[in-house]
Amino acid sequence: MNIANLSFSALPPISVPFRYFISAAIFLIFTAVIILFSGEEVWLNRWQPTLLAITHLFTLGFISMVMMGAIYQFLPVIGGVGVANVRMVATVSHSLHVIGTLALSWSFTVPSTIIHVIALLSLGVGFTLYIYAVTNVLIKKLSQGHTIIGMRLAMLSLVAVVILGILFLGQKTLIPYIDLGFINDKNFTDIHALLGGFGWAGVLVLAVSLQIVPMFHVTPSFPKLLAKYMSWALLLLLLLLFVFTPISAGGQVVIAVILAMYSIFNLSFLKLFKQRKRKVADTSIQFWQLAGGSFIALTCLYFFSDTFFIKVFDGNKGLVLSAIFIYFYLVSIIEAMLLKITPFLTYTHLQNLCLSNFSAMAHLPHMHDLLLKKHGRLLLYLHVFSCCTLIVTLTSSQLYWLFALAMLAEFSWLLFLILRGLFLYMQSLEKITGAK
Amino acid sequence: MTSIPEFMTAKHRECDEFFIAAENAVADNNWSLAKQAFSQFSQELELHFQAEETILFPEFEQATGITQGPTQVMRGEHQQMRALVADLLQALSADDKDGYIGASETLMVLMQQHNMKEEMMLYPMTQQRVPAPEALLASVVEHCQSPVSD
Repeated sequence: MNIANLSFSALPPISVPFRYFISAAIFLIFTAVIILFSGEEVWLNRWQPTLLAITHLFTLGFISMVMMGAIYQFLPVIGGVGVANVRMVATVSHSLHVIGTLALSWSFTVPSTIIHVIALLSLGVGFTLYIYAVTNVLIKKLSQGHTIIGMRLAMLSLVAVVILGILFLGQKTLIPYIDLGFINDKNFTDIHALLGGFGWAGVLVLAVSLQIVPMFHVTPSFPKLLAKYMSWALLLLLLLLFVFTPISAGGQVVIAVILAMYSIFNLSFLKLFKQRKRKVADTSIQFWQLAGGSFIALTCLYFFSDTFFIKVFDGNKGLVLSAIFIYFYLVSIIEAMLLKITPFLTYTHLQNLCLSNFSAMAHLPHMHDLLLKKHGRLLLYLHVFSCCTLIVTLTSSQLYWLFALAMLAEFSWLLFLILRGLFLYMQSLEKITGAK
Repeated sequence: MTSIPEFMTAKHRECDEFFIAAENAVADNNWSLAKQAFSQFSQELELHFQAEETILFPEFEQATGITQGPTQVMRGEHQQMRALVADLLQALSADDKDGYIGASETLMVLMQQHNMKEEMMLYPMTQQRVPAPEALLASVVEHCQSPVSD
């Protein structure tokens, strides 16, 4: 264990994670507007260009955005070392991430070489810088916990997802120079999606949960076998998809095993929350329960016959399962985490300032003041409502506007909660620094 | 014989148990039970802090030569937690449920992120770096006056 760089107070400036969180909420407000004005034909199947744009606004604009912002903050707490030159890394990679996500989404609906090149360069350079900076911390041997190992595997998945994404974009822009025709195989698109969903997002959620669920919710720990082997098993199964392609019968078996394994993780945290001893109500747990229950439902749906999907969802099995995974599962977990992270971050930054000036502690707001319980509950109600409207839209696409309006309300509220936390931070900061 | 990280982590969990018992009693408006559980919690917590500040941290500092780094941050956080414990005691004396729950959530978060840093890094490093970890553990155990499981 190397302690040369260890620092428990190496938190990045609060502007680093918050810029990611604020952008994420804005991206989904923007997505809601796009859905509102795109009409019902978007929901015909998952290959519709506008739906591809919407999917990437969710995955890049919201899910990855929040996860990347949270990692900057999480590393110093869990590993004792933060990202070097964090302000520069965050400014450059975040700006390029925003530009790249917008360009990529635009390029799906309005194909143009220049937009493809902008998306390729922005996302390519932005992700490379971010991955390089975070990997530099993760390769240090500060802590060998399962969370750090899981984060390394998630980062490895992200590398693969980005490379495939770059190849898809490169195939559109670099054809005269390099032959990337092999990438047109739809199997690579599925691998890109599965690695992004279960490798990057799924393994990261798993790795972080091992630490934060028992800690912040005071539950028993996850089973040791799960903590030790689940991340590895998921990644190896995902890599198997390069051999047994997703469309093949072998690939379908691999996907079924991935779903079953990930269900075990979901059942585990659902069980842990049942064993929680604290009686004080916590909305973030209800978000976790919604997510866990949804994933079990998703796994069951995967084994339903095609006839069922034809009858209920116009045969759009892939679209329905992806929508449940992204919106019911990942978005729920991210909102659960934001409900905890936003006040926690604000408090930790202010509390750190009080370490050198103990009398300033009187100006520290309590956690409840930073995010009111009733505000968190309203976010949950809005999310449950928007989840219902999504299912309605998937069965009757003419009601898409209802989903768009529900999303608009939910993510405007989320943005308000984040901005409110930031405003209270600045107010308290003034008092604390004034007390010096 | 258990190790320093194992023993100290178990102590963290023990404190959590008393803390939750007090918080649950407040949530149920059972003030006498709350006061009893809180008293156990604050005593256990203080013993734990003292064991770290007077025995464990000085050994770590001597073994690594780092006196202004992680242990200094941990000491500062101990002071902050003591201040929140005083707030909780005040709310408890006034039977102030909202005041108690607000401060207890804050202490919970502060305590858990503090524990995470100690459990993930400081304790394993202490175990690795001090010349006689068994003797150090024996002193800590003696201070905490708790039996150590094999």
